[in-house]
Amino acid sequence: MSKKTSVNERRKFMKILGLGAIATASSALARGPGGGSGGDTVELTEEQKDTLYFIFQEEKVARDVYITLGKLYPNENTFANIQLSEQEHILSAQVLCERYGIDTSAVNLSLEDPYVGLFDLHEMQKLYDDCVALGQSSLLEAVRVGILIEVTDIKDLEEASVDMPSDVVNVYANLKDGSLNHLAAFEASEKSLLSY
Amino acid sequence: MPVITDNIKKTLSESLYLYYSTLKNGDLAVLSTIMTQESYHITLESLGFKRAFKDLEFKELLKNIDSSKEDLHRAEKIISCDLRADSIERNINVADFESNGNDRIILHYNEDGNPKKMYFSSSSRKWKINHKAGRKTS
Repeated sequence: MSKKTSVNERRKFMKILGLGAIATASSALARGPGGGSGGDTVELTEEQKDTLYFIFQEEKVARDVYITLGKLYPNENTFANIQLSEQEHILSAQVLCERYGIDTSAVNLSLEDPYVGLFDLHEMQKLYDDCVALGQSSLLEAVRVGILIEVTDIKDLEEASVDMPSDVVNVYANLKDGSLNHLAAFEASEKSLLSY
Repeated sequence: MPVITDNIKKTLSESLYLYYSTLKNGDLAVLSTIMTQESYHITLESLGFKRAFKDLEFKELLKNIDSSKEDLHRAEKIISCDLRADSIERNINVADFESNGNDRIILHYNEDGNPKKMYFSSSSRKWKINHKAGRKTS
């Protein structure tokens, strides 16, 4: 893997890892080699596998942030709607890992307490805690946290293709659509809140 | 599966405690020596996230830490000050060591009572914190 790719993929983390979008790619991958993606499935390098697993862990951060903010602001439909999509994303990320032989059993994806908002890595815990803390201050800030997550998702998708197998790369374009829809919903919500 | 010797356990435990003490006192120069470079940058991004959310200038700095040494140093300075100001003390207790292939170990520990993991990888007989070494390889 090139240095550039490694850095780009690692950067997903801070961007709150929105990898949601990339994770969703696995839905298409789960259909099998070339299943709709027209791709040739290849072996990933050990480094690429590490990155995929890391991304899978990160994906939980975005999902859990939306779940928690959705509970804080139950009347804000955007969070409720996007939660469903994010859950699909993380399950898809799991499929993607398993497709490449990566064991995901160490990550508990339960939606029950206390697993939501609980992370093995200190860094991911801190990101989650910071996002929730920022979102707790007001609904407007919570919506802006959502915007940040989606913006970074979209950017990451555009970067993530580098050096990855074509069966992964080919589905990225579809994923952007989901994130663009989420972004539009959050931006509409922000606009509405600012107009009051 | 390689044996995790008492020496290795001591080394990893010391790194863990050093990691948390550097987060408390903002000594990023030391922190950078006990982590892989990639993990160190991940940690900086995590530490700077909250500030970056509100401070667009800092956000730009943080974006460039991989490509610009000058921006890296500027970001480190700011993050270090923030860490010293917060001076967060954590209660850390080592719980267990788990082999993960030939050159990786997962250190299980508790942070303020919450279970956490620190991933380590070895290169040239030197163990470093490596956030991306959590994938099971054995």
